[in-house]
Amino acid sequence: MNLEELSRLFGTSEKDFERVREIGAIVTPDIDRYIELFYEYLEQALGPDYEIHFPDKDTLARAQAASRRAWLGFFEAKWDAQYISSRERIGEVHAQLQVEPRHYLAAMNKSMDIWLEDIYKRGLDEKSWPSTVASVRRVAMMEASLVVDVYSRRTGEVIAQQSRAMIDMSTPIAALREGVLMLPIVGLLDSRRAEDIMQRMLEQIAEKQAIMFILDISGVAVVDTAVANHLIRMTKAAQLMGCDTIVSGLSPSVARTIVELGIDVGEMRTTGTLQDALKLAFKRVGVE
Amino acid sequence: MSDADVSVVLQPVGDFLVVPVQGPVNQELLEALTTDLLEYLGNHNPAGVIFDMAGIKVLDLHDFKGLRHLADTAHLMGTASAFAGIQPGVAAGLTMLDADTSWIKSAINVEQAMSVLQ
Repeated sequence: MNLEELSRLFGTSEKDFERVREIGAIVTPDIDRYIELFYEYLEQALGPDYEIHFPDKDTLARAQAASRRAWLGFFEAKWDAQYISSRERIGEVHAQLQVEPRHYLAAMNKSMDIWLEDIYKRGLDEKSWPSTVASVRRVAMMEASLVVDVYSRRTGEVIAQQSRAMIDMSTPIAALREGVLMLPIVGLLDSRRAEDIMQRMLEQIAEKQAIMFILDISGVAVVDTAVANHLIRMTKAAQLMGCDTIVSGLSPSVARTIVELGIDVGEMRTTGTLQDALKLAFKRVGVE
Repeated sequence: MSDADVSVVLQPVGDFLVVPVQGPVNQELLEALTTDLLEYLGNHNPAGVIFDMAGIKVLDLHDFKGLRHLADTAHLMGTASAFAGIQPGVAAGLTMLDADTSWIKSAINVEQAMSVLQ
């Protein structure tokens, strides 16, 4: 994110930053009091969670110092690349502490309420007040967007990680002997999964320099034309790399389905049991 | 003679000729490969030609057909050929494109290719 893009999105201009700085000149001398008020609010709003987030004095003091720094930075309103990355860091920290985005936004909102109310009571110029508040809101929203962006990016990363873990879990490729790999496929084989499996399979073939690959499909619930095509494709790709594939675990009913559906399995080698496949594979690599 | 910017290496290993395919596979490279290969096969009689594909990360259908011509050329000269070390991405890509792979003899590496050709 850069300032240009943000400014376009939020309609902020140098004028807004100026107004934030003006109001900052009034707020910053009292900043410690405002921070205190804010943490009183937090204690009330969070209830028992307050203890979890701030278990001891040190943690609390650190958090308060960080809040203070964050707001002082906000009032300086120096929106350069460094400032933007510092706000993104704030997002990282909050995400790491598992502060929900709604809590962050509520806290931001409350902080602003605290000092805006206070300085309004002191009697500022009535005419310029609405535009000042509007400027503060624009800049604050822009800042919050940076933080929330980091949250969503984090969530995306976590999901990507999980799906990677899922792929690894669903493709437990085992090296049986030098040059022989085996993969039992369990459950449903849809195109998405077939693609993942094929990718992992080919990578492993290259890595382990395998010349035989046993695909055991005794755990595949349904074998229809689509599944058969996936299997044929995997076989073909492995073949291209110089690795022969044996599809094992075809039950009689699966064999019957394949014939009845008129699926051309081509050169795909199949065996009824895993044992037969192993025998075949080991013979190929020269071990009995 | 091949072009200066296309590198063709012919490496006799034992009874075999190993040809590492390097750089992007294109018409120019295929042309150079064919020329140099034919020249070599005219003078020598290797037990087989092994094209080492380990360095190729991308290959489209057209280039794949070009490789077939190369293999056919060697065959016409009475020499069998095999392709070694085709990369996972290339293999996946070609199958997705439904390439005709029935003609190809491949092996996981050069060593395996030698035993395939024997």
